Amino acid sequence: MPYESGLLGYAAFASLALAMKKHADSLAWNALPPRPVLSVLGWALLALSATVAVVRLGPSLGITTWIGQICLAAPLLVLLLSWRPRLAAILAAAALVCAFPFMLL
Amino acid sequence: MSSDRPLKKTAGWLGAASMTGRALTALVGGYASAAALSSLLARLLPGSPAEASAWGMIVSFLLFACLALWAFHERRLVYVAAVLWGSALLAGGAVMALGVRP
Amino acid sequence: MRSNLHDGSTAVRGLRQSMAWIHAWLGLLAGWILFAMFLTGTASYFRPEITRWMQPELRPAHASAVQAAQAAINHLQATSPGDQQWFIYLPDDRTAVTRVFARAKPDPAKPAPRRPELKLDPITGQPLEARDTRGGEHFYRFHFQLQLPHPWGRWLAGVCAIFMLAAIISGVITHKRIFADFFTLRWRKGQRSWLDAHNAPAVLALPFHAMITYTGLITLVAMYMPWPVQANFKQADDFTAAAYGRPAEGKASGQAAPLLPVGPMIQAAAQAWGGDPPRTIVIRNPNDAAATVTVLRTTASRLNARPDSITFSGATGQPLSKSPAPGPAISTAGVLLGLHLGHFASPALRWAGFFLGLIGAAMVGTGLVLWVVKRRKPNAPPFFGLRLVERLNIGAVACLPAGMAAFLLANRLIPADLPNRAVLEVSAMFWVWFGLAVVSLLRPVRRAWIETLGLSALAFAAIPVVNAVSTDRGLFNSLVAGDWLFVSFDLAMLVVAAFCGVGALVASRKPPASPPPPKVMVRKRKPAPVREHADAV
Repeated sequence: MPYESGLLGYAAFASLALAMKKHADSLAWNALPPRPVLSVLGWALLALSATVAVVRLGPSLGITTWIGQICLAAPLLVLLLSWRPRLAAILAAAALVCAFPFMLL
Repeated sequence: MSSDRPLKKTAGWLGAASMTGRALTALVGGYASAAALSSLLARLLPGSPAEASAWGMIVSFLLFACLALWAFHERRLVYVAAVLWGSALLAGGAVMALGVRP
Repeated sequence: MRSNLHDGSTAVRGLRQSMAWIHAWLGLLAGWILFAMFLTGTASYFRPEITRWMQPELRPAHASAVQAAQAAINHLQATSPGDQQWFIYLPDDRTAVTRVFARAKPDPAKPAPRRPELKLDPITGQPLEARDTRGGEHFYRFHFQLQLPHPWGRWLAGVCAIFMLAAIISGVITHKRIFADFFTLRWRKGQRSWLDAHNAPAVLALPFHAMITYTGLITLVAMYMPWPVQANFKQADDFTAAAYGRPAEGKASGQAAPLLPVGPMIQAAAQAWGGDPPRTIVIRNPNDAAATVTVLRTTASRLNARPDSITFSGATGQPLSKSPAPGPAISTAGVLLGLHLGHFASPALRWAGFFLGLIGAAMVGTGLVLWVVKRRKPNAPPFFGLRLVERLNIGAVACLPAGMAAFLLANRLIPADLPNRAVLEVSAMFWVWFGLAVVSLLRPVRRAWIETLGLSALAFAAIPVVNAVSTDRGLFNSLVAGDWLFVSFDLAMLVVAAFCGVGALVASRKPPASPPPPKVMVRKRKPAPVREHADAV
């Protein structure tokens, strides 16, 4: 299973969540990119995660795997975000960093 | 529009009877309607009969769920009953009248 | 005069209210059974693995398809060469045994009882000696038959499934802030927290829940909705023949002819399928001149769960027929079936399905709790319906895990050579599940939740311990031997125990203090009957 697709999905959801005021406020970071940027980044990462899955596994298995992965990544993100928002954000950055070497392999 | 308001509460046995009737219509009438409509679809779809039957079966559950939900949204029970039982009878009758595909 | 805009939003509000009302009823009536279907269905993702864990005497033996098939046939030739049909389920990397089912020639003078399925060694074809157990089949069958006699179990499961489908649709319609609250999960806020706890698993994994529900209905569509077939075909068999090819039902000719080795047939089939191995061999009228050997393709290599098949003559080895290439509708139905069964899934994807199933169970369970929380009034005694639902919730949600753990514990604790032990294992699950539910009635509601969830946690945590004590395949031994199936099974039991423990912890948290009553005297109003509330969410 292409795990990088799941990692990108998690980062995508984190980005989309932080693009919303109430979740960005829970971080209380000044260094966050502006919200429209986060929103575009989130959607772009989501599309990239789908693409990676389809390229690796073909269209039908790829879409199936991608949907399974994001249906797990999203609840995981929401749990972390509600419990330890900064950890959730840091893990998103880590997921992004980890995903790219796998993608190039 | 009269269908915009949610279901009005009617007290007493009339309310209970009305709700029971609605539930039966949604569950049984909805099933009959979905079965009849998807059978009619299967009968009329051009192409291979096996394919047409398969499409009918595939869409039938979505049809059933939507019809049943509508039965609980539409305020006028008479209208609901007429549509569900009526479509079941009409579509079912049409399928039987057409007979099995030659 | 209302403007059009007003009419539109009033209509939407009316739709949201009616959908909220029906969503609560659908979830309440079907929720207890749906929770059980979700948990046992989730377990069924690992049906062969559970069976293997429950027969620790068996060690996996790997054989090629040709080897396993011929060994099984040799055994059947030695024991019952005059049968009418042999079904041979070949081993794969998950099952590790050959299963065979033989049907004798019907004798009107002496109707033969249905013979049990045999488990054979893949290499030697000899029957395997292991403790008698239903294994993973128990959870799998319960999932869609609910331990009720045929056909009532399947019908009840089907009703619950269509209720689930309608609940999903109505839930999405009624969820007013589905995008604004997409990532919202508030803790320690009473009813709002339970609402979030229900919305989060439901919305965030919505594609999975919708897929698993719809495809679940499709798995039994021939039973639930046969009418579109009847519109086009006089007999259901004609549809099956048109869709999947006519099975070689030929009568025996009465002329004896030895059954050829199936190796070449399997190899020819595998070649036609681009290297895919077979998973099942069906032999009709073996040792007859009209014998047929049908080879069915594995379903693990693609989404469509309907296997292709090629039929050969058993006496001459010539290919006789093969299943037709399916059209778009039949392929769609096959893919829908495959999505539900999950045969195509790699181990990683199977684990993903397992956790998604648990999320689905969480959706149903939190919905049931939310129903109670919404209607519990701090200053009024609970009405009878509320108390009934509260108690049923505990029985259905907190006691079922203990029952499932009891089934696995019974497998290790009941002596391996006891006759009828398979039935005892199944009984253990129901005695513990319902017994615990009854005993929990003696406790106040909050303590009952904590204690039953705590017991479930203990029961699951005990499984690796009992495994290590009663077999030589405990966690440590399995780690040393590199037996990853047993390792991951025991670890999974600990993870499930942790989930139950977290549930007990959540149940033990004191609810947030209710706000003090307002100081201003208000005119006493008769409280509206809660049943009629169209809950705006």
